[in-house]
Amino acid sequence: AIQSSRFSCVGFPLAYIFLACKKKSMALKLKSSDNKIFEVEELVAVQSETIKSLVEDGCANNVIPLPNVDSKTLELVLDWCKNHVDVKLDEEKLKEYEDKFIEVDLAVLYDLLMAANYLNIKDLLNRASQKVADMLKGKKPEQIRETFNIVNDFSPEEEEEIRKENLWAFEE
Amino acid sequence: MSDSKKSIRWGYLPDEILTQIFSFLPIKSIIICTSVSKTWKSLIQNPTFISTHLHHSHNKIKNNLLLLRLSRNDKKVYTLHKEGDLDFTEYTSFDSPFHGPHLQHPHHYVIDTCNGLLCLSNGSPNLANKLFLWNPCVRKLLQFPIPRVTFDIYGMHPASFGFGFDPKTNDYKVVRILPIFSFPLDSGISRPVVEVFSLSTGEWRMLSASASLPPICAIISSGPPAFANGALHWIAITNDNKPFVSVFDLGDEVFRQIQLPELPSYSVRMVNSAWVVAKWCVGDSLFGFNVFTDFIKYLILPAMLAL
Repeated sequence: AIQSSRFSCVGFPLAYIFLACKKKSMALKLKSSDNKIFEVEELVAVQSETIKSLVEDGCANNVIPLPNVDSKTLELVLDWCKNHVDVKLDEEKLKEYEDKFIEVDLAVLYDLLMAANYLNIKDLLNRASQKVADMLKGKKPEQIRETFNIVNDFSPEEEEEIRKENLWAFEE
Repeated sequence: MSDSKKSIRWGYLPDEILTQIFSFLPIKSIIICTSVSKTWKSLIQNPTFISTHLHHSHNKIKNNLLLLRLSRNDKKVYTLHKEGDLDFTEYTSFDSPFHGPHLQHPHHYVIDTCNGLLCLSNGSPNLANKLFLWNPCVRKLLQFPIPRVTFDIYGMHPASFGFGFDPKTNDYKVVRILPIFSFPLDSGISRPVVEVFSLSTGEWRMLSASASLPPICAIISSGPPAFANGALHWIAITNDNKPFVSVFDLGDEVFRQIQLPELPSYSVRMVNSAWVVAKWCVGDSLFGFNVFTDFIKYLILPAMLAL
């Protein structure tokens, strides 16, 4: 008896909320740093936790400015989001998509990392980080510095010290 | 912006992104990364990164790992095996840290493990005075100072050790409980003497504040105590032979007691360690972390103690 009464009093408004949600899966307008406007379905955009909280706070009625993401990167990011709306999709296909998606040059990978971090898209940040990690693996310090153009700010003595302390890791 | 200009910024990626990237790396690559730049080094050696990486490996491995110590080609090695792997395939192995300059301690034992660190002792764990902390992944061995309370002061009584991590202070601690027997022996037990070693201070400290003292009891569980929810759990008995769980919180360094349920007969029952008790006390919230140990943790029966 309790169960059915709970059902009847909650069930009715729930249906309404559901309908409202369905109807509300409307387009959001996102503005990139170079002032291009992207119209995307809300379901796609809210995979970004940053955008999601804007929507929940009711701040997404007008154009949402994304001053840290340029249009080239945003297009990629939104493509990722579109393909991750329904993660129950064929797992193999999704992995295939992700692997192909992340095959980009370093500059694009950098932009994707920054955008995924700013927009707070966990799976994209993970995949891009994993890609960078794969590029670091098996490389010597000099090779890493060269690939990622990182300045060596150690003195030769300091560098030797680290090497000596962990000889096994630096051996072939 | 040209590619070369952009790639200059790789050295200045925000810490949270670098942390994310490093947490996907195996230990060897992480160590190599510490020699790339000062920024990378300080980020990797930061306790926050260390715990992130630990958390990441826990999620990745999922199973507990079992630790075995064996001799292979005249060399002592430690091997790890995934719990529940019926084929018992070797997950990874480490050479014993006691070779070369440390050859003087060939007979060592594992006191306990925590977060992939091993607390080792020379000689039998109960009577050991030289303790070591070993991180097999980065192959670093650290010798602890000799405990302050030596056997000359109170006589040769087997001490109980515990090893665990206090998340509140981000510190690893070793607890040494030395039983004090009064003479004649049948006149009962006294309050044990307790010393705590903290890795961050590098010193042993005796518990002396009355609030933190252990109850009058004797630890009866052999092997390492169960470490759960930031506390060590031993099975102990009171002066009138009643078993209970002696709990030492590594954060506030205070002893507490948990009563055991009335069991029909302790003398015929082997209870699988204080773990059971710890599990029973905290219900489902017991966290599954990657303990690996070559000790079977079990409760020694009061009947055996009387022998």
